[in-house]
Amino acid sequence: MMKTPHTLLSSMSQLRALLFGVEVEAGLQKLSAPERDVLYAAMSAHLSRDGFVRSDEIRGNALAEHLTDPTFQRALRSLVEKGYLRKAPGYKRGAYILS
Amino acid sequence: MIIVTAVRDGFALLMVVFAAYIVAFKLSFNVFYPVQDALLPAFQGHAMLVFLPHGVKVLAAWLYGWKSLLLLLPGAATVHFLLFGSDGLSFPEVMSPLVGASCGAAAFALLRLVRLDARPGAPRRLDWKVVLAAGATSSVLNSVGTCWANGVAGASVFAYLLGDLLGTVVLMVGLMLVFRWGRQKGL
Repeated sequence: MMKTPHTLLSSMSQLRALLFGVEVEAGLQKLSAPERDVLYAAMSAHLSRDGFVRSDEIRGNALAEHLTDPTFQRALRSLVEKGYLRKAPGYKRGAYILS
Repeated sequence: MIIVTAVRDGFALLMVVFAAYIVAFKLSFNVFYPVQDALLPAFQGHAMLVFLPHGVKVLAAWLYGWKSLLLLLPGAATVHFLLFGSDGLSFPEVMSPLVGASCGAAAFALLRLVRLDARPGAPRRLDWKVVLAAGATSSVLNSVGTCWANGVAGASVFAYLLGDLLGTVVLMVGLMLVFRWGRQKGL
């Protein structure tokens, strides 16, 4: 099977994140401000070669930097519960897949 | 090996942007334009009032900066040739694709001068309002440049401006709906 180039995957992820912002502000999605910031950060963080995004990459993104650790962890957990993020197979924590 | 991968990725990107530009043009020309002709005959022959390729230019410029000029040029040149044929090859008409392909990146560069920075890593990277502002700015640059290159003025400038802006909005909303649908289907 032909692999999708990394640049294209990253572009698609950024585009999704940008347009997700339109959905949120149009009221089509109900998320708290920290949840939204963490989700945008997850979307804009570079996906690793295996297709996962790691929590330290999300945490280090400019969009999530201002959050305290407990708020960041709560938002991350809530996004998993709401189905926006899934835990990556084989990882109990620390790596996620964008739903 | 690294060079081979970079060339392969670059070529894939070029093909995707080219395909996106042509599909956007075909949708504008074959779907929106006939509706416009039927509903707004006053604009007949001026310009497409929903010019989706402008949205492709803006999003490509947002994603790739000045590199988007090279990525967009083949699509812009193809569409220019489809619209004007060999008449479009003389100067200054031939400059029209170059103006079109560069207006997006130029608009983002202008917005940076007023502290609206949407480059990777900037806090407002994912602010769609900044992208829309770049769409509006680039439509001004594009309309003025295209009208100069094609030797048109008056109502056409306004039609180009409106077409570019509406094209960007319609493309962004359309893509948002596609991504939303994909997410709901678990894709």
